[in-house]
Amino acid sequence: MIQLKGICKSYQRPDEGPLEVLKNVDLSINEGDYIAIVGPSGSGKSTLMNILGLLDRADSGEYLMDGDDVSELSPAKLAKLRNEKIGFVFQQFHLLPRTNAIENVEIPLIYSNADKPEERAIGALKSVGLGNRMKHFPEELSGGQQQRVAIARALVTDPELILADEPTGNLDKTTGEDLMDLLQQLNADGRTIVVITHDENLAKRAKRTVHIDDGRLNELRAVAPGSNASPTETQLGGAA
Amino acid sequence: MNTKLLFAGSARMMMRYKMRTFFMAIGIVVGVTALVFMRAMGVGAERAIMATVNKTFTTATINVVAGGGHLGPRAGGPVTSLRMADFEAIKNQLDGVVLTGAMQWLPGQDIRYRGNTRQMSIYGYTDQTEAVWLRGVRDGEYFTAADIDSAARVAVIGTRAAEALFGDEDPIGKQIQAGSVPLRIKGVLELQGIDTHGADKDDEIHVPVTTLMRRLMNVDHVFAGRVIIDNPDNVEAVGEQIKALMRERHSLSEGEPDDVVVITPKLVQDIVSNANRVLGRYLPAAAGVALLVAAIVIANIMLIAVKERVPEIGIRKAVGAESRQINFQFLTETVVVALTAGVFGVGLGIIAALVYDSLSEVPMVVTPGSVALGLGAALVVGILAGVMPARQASALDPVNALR
Ligand SMILES: Nc1ncnc2c1ncn2[C@@H]1O[C@H](COP(=O)(O)OP(=O)(O)O)[C@@H](O)[C@H]1O
Ligand SMILES: [Mg+2]
Repeated sequence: MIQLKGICKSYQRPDEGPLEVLKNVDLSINEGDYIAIVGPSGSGKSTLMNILGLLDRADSGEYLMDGDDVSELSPAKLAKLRNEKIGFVFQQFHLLPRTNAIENVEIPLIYSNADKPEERAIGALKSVGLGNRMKHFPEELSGGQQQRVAIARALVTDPELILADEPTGNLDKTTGEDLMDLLQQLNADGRTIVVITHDENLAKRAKRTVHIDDGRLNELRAVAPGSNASPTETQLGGAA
Repeated sequence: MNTKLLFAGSARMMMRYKMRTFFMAIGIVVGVTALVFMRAMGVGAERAIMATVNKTFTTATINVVAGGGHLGPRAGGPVTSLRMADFEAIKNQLDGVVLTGAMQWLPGQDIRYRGNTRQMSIYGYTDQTEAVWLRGVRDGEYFTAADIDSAARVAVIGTRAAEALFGDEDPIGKQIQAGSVPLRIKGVLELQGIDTHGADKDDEIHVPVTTLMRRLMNVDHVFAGRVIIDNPDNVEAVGEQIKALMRERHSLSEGEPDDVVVITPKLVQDIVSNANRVLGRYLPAAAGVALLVAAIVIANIMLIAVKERVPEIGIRKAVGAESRQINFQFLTETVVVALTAGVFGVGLGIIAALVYDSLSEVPMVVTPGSVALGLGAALVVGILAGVMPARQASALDPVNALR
């Protein structure tokens, strides 16, 4: 689905030389993948995700989506691709205040031509287990529920890829695990998922774990393609 | 893009951020209210004055006033060349002239009846006044041609003047004193009210113009006169003929200026509507300044709102909003608030105008044009105020916005 080849990204620093955040990164994401990206704080995980999510451009390298090079597309074309193919989940949820769950989930549909937006939003909320919280404002929801609203918002356009940047970072342990169960469920339903975390335990639930350090990627562990073992079993097996 | 959903969201934000909406709206509400109210006052005044002008000045009327080419007080003393005979000549020599009537006036005279004294203007008219100046008597009778010929010591009196001098007594047949001249009251004038110069037309007396000239003023010229013609379309042409005839009769040579002013209805209407521009245009311009201030306030509130809503803008872009859609959204939000405020302002302006109309003597007229002006002003303010914040919002980089 996505191939990154030789992606480099650096930021200019005022006094020192440029900060090289991503150095020659290669990554390929296949349909149905569930990838965890782990690495210490400041290692470039979010930078990589912003590039993957077409929110940011690499300085150099190749980005193929479904075989097409997207690195030269106009901002408007990129916005359309984000709307149709990618769903974002952020650590800070980023729900609009004073806007209820349905209204939050509807936002991506403002920018698409999908009909019946309210029905779609309700469906997405039900699929994340919030069928009974649809008129609630973010201020009236727990952190875990807010993040579920955010996931519903990511799902509402039925994208192929869900990108989650430390989705459990603001949640307590149990809530975080519930949320990871939900992501796992989505993947089991066929959705491709990339999740960033620095919690190695959560990362073990993924089918593939990619480590990022000093701007370089290392794939630590992968479930062999064609294996029908669930990631949980792999993880348990690995831990045994 | 699903515009319906976007508008619904903007309307929601307006309702849910009530304080912000209130402070954005208040300036426009006040400005538009003032604009509609002042326009109502200007239009009302213009219509009222025009109605008075048209009432006292039928369309086939030409006024001829002694004076060197301009109205109002003149330097160099009064012009004494205009005579009653000039109006006889106008009537006899010019085609289409139906009636003429000369007049003279003497302001601020003490009029006495027994112990009572009242200061008022004395007007001298001919027996044609009812037809020429459209004013007759409500009681008794007006002067006759014989009164004019003999410079009779008679008068007709305005209602307020009569009340002041006679109280409950019937003034008709009573004798009053104007200086040393005794005058017998023949009638009471029809009510007329305040004229365009602010003079109370019910607080004056009329005497035969000959009586005023010979017995009270000791002059042989008149101050002005009126010419009625048969066809309103010819007022300008006959006006020119009158000027030429007056130059000839007053033996003015080539280079000398006119010694009379010829006033046609068109000239009067032009002067009046010019005076009304002050009410109709400059006062609304003051409301325009208030609206400009409102625009600056709104722009600032929106700029603050854009800063507060940085994550919202980031998330919108992340889920597929193009920059121009963000721009459109923020501009729309400002314009929706501004237009809503404009509707309130127009409503309040109309209510204020109606209330003021019923509580005061000032006539207030709200026209569809004034309503459109109010709404248009609100729209313009909304767009002016919204452009810059919307541009800032749309220019945000989503990566930075979501950090
Ligand atoms: N816009 C930017 N300008 C300058 N430096 C940046 C910018 N964004 C990120 N960085 C730096 O790049 C590095 C990687 O950032 P990030 O991808 O957010 O790391 P992670 O998500 O792994 O914590 C950090 O050192 C961060 O300070
Ligand atoms: Mg990060």
